[in-house]
Amino acid sequence: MRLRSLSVRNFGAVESADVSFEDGLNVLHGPNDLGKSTLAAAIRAALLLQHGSSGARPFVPWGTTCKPTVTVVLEIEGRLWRVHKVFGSSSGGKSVLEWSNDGVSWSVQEEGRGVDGQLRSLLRWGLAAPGGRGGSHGFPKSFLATVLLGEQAVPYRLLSQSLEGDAEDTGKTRLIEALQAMATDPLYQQVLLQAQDRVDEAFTAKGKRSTRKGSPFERVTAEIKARRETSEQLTAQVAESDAVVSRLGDLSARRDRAMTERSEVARAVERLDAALDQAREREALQAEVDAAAAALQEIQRNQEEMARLQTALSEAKAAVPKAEAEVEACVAALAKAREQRSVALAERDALTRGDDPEVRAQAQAREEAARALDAEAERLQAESSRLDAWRSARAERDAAKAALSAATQEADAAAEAMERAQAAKQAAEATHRELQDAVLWGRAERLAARLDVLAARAEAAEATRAEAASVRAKAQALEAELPELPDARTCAAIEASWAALQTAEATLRGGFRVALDLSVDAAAEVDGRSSPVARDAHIDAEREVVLRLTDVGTVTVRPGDPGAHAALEAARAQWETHAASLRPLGIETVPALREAVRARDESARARASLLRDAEVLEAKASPPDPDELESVRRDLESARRAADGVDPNACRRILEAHGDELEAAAREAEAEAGRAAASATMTVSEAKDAQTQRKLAAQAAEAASKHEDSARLDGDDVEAAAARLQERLTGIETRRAELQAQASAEAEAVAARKEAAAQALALAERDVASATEAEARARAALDEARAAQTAAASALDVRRDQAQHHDPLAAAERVARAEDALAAAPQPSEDISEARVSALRESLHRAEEALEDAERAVRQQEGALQQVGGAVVRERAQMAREALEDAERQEAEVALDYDGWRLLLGTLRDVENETGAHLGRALDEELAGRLDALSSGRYAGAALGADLETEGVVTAQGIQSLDRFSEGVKEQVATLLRVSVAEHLGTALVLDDHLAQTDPSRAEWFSRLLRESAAGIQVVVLTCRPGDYIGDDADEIHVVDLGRVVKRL
Amino acid sequence: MSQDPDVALKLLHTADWHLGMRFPAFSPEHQRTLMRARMDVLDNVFGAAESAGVDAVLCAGDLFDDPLPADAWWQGLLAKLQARDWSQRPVFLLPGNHDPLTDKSVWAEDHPFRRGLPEGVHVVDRDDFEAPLSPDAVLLCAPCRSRAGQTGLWRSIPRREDGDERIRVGMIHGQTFDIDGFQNSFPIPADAAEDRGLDYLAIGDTHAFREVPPEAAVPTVYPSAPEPTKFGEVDAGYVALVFFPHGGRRALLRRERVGRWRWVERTVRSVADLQALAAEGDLATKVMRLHVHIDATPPEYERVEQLLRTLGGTDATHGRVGVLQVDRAGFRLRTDDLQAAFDGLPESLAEVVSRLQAQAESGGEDAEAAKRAVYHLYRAVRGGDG
Repeated sequence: MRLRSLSVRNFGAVESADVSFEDGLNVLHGPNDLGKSTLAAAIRAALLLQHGSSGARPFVPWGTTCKPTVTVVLEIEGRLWRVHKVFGSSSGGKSVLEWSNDGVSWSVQEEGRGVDGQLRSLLRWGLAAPGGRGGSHGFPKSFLATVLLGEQAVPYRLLSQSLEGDAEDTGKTRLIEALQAMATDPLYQQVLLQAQDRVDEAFTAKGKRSTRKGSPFERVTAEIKARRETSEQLTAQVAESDAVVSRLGDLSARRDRAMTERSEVARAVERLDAALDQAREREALQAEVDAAAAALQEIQRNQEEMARLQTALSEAKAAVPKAEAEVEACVAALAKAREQRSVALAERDALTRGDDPEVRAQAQAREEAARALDAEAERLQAESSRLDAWRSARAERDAAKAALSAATQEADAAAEAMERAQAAKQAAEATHRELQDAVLWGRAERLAARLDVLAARAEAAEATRAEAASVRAKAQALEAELPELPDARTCAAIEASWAALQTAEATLRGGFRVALDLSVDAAAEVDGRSSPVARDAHIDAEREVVLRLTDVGTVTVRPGDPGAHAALEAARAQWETHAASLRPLGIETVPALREAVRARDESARARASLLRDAEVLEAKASPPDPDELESVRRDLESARRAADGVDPNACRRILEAHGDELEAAAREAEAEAGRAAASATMTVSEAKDAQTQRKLAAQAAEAASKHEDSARLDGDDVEAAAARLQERLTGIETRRAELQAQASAEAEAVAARKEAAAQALALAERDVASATEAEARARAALDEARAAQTAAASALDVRRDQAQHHDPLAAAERVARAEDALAAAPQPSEDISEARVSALRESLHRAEEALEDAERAVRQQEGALQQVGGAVVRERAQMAREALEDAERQEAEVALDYDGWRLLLGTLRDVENETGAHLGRALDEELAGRLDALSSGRYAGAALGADLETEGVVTAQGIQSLDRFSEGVKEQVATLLRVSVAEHLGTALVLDDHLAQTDPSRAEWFSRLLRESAAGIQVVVLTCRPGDYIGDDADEIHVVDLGRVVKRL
Repeated sequence: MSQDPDVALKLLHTADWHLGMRFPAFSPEHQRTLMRARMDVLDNVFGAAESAGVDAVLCAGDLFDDPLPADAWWQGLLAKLQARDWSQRPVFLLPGNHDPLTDKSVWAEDHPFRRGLPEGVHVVDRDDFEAPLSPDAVLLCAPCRSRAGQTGLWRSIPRREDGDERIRVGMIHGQTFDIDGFQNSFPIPADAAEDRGLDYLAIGDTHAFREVPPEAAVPTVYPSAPEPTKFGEVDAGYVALVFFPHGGRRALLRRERVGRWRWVERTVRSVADLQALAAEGDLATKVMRLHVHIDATPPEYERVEQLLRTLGGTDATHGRVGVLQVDRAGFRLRTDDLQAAFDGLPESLAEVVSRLQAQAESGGEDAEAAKRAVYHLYRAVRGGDG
């Protein structure tokens, strides 16, 4: 989790604040009472407190009913979340949780009460869902909430708290995940890792079998698939082979049945063929009988026909003369009918062409009367037009008079309105002038007051600066007093040289004995000290014995390896080099050097503290902006010039009357004056327009009157003249109707005559046709009678020729012979018919086809069996089945193996979660290292329990209860724990004046720690001492001067 | 012509080489071993023919496992045939139902295998195939032309004509057993040899050495596959040497072992059994299916696994058994008493063992997985790789 921004409104003493955060170290600084802790509380409230909680009451600004409002933007696992809360009772409060991938477009995730549940689920800090245990009133509590977002009193609370007190185990689970905290037994860890590796290689994250490349299931699954496909394919072939064999049996039976059936039908056909031959022979004999009988009958029919033809010839010869007489009568009747038709045709044509004189005379008279009527009507129409023009001119004259009257009234009304608008304009302008004077006077007064305030601020800033300069001078004085000691590297070299000298001397300080057996006296110097010596004594020494033998010389005895002596000389020489450089500083020994360095460091820290104080004072000293001061002066002069000459008393009264609303009232008066002026201008324009309209109306009335005079006709009454004219027009129309009726009657009479002529013509035509037809029939009858005579004569001749060739006796004998032969022929062996023969042959054909089909099918199945079936495929199918079974056994074995690993892993995890997680041990080493460094070896670590409960501090004397330590140590231990937990979780840490009781040197150590930690996590520090954190690496720190972004109420 | 004065004719009869046959139930490595063995054994077959000084070699079908095998198989056989001189000892190759004679088969005249055959090697490619084996002996054959069929190929062999005193040897491929309702492929009746007037009928198909029926007046013989093809095949791994005495007496028969591999099934019921098996010699030429029926404590279980690796080999080492297939269905871990196996464990791991043991002994659906988990844990705490 990372904080991205914080926006606060009306929260505690803060009216508004907007802060953005960056990754790494964020230092939010400001003086005491600015609201730093309020901002920290705002973050806590946004993330932890329900909007309707009573815990939000302290955040309501004093003496107001404002609703505290906080908006925090977080980044959790790459996604941005925006929490917006307005704290208040259920009706006034609200919560919204939104998310975004780009920080630009936001989507609502949750609103209302559900927001806190979602937030707690996202944070996983061990907080119960709202309404659950520990979640009903005020800020919910959990170990991680305290660690990551604790308030100023964190040390005491944190060190008496642990994960065990959390309402949910999400915080602990998260820490266990982060710390990989099965810190119980290395063997357990080893087994766990091994099991995890095996499960990972075989299963997906969701617990399904992995089929990715390299997975143990991949090969065996692929093998099973391939073998199953092969087995199924071969099994199908076996089934196909078996089916073919089965079908072959069925088809063979079918073929046998077809052969039997075909044989039976063939035998039936043979029998039928024999019977058919007999029947055909009898048919031939019967045909001969029939032919002979027919020939005899033909002879008899010929004789009868000859008799009949003779009779017909006689009748035809008698009919010809009668027909000829009938033809002549018909010709005469036809001539008469044609004459009557000519007369009727002439009558009808004359009427059609209009050649009738009576009809023509009536038509001419009627047309002349009509033309006279048209001329009269045209004259009357012209007179009517003139009457209309007179009537129109009179109406225009009346309208123009009415318009003149209306325009006169409107002009009078506009003049009155103009006078009223002028009066209103003058009144509004007077009011505006009074208020404007008061505004100018008030502005000059305010600028004078502002100038006084700025002058006071400049004076205060100068004083603070002077104080800062004084502190800085003290720091410079301390710096000047700092001795010029060797740097740290040289000090370390000196320490090493000193240690080497000590070591070299210790190497040769083993002790030795010199046995004497002297013949001369001697004096001895043992380890640099003179010592009496006897001639046969022995001398015990540690480093060196020098014997001065009288009259002989001096013997020096040093024990040990020559190399060690050389090393000692070299160490001495090196030390002498360093000692020579230290002597001018008045330092003879290494302890003295250490003390000098310690004193110098102490002075340096004091100097640094003074410098920080100076920075704080300098930061506090904020003189007014000179530009602003100059600007205010210029504005004041300008305002006074503008207000010159106004009546101060009147202005004061007006100012008192309107208070803060004066400028608004002046603006309103100015607007009112403007509106009145515009209204006056508009009424003047309207009055002019009305006057112009009245003049135009008068001119129009005069013109209309003249026009009416010019259009007037004889007489004064236009309506009476119009009535007269209309009466004359009606008379003309009546006459026209009479002429039309007369024409219709004449036309009807002509039509009746035409109809009569047409009927007469039709009768004549029918008579002609009837006569023509009768003539034709008579001529046909004559032709028929003549033809019958000729035909009868001809047919009689033919029959006579035939009769000459007929032999009735021979024909009768032929009949008798044929009938005898037929009687002698045998009857067929069975009853037959063509249909039966045909059906039987068809049956034979079908039986043969069925047999062919069956044989073809048998051959096909035999061929199929040869290709697909038999023992070969059966053997291979068996092998494939066995191979498949083997692969399935292998798969089961692999599956069992990895199910075993999975079960082992699950059981290890269960046991770990239930009995083994000891988070304290996971942090043990890390905390010990930091505490050791912080305390320069005084503290060896913090004793933390399984749920991170703090049991004490580890010292050389064992674990010491926290009660025995100062508040400073407690807050340092707590801060170390907080930093470590945040680092492992990789999440933001908010520290609010966390080291209030810590001395500057340890504060500096913590400053370095936080800068290092901020390389991996986000750290937000709220402090009044920014100098503790801002050093040479200021560019890498996000510094926020809260004095600039926080607006207090 | 045989040099033996008492023997008129001497033949080597072999069949069912099944070159190219696959063994999908085995690992790829073992598959390859077993497939190559089918080609390797031919050196023994042809060597036996030379050693016995036979007059001809009869190969009675199913020489390839498929009518058109992969090139390596026919090229391998061709190389072996080309490596020897068959001009005085003809070889007759008969297509069987596994490798029937078709236009697309390895036997087709335009196939490089057929074209590459050396002098003296003949393919039976006609239904009325007849070839002299000596001045007084004749070979009569008919090939399979399909994978299955009801045709009695034996009918293609003409009956002995009166006065024909030659030794008549028939060679066909097919099945001799005759059960009602069972469809034989290329059936051969028990009296086919006698019916056709033969002195010996060389047949192939069954992979075991058989004379059908035994002691019949005219021998009808399956010579077996020269290398077994599966577990349960008994009397496989031979060729038949056939001696025809003078005087028309019944042919004498001798089976000659040529196969290298023996396919065996073994069952072990204790660790001691398995140790004894592992100590046996002559395991390298065995194809073994080993049924392990042992209830083992974790240490025993580990020992069994160790012995199985010794027998079967690992990625790094050869196994003692030539080809080992292990049936673990009866191999179970005992979890009733784990005290000794897990003595001295840290308390937390002891708790894990206790829970797994309870699960294993409950007999529930996870019981076997729990047993396996116990074994993994046992191996892990002992520093094994599990």
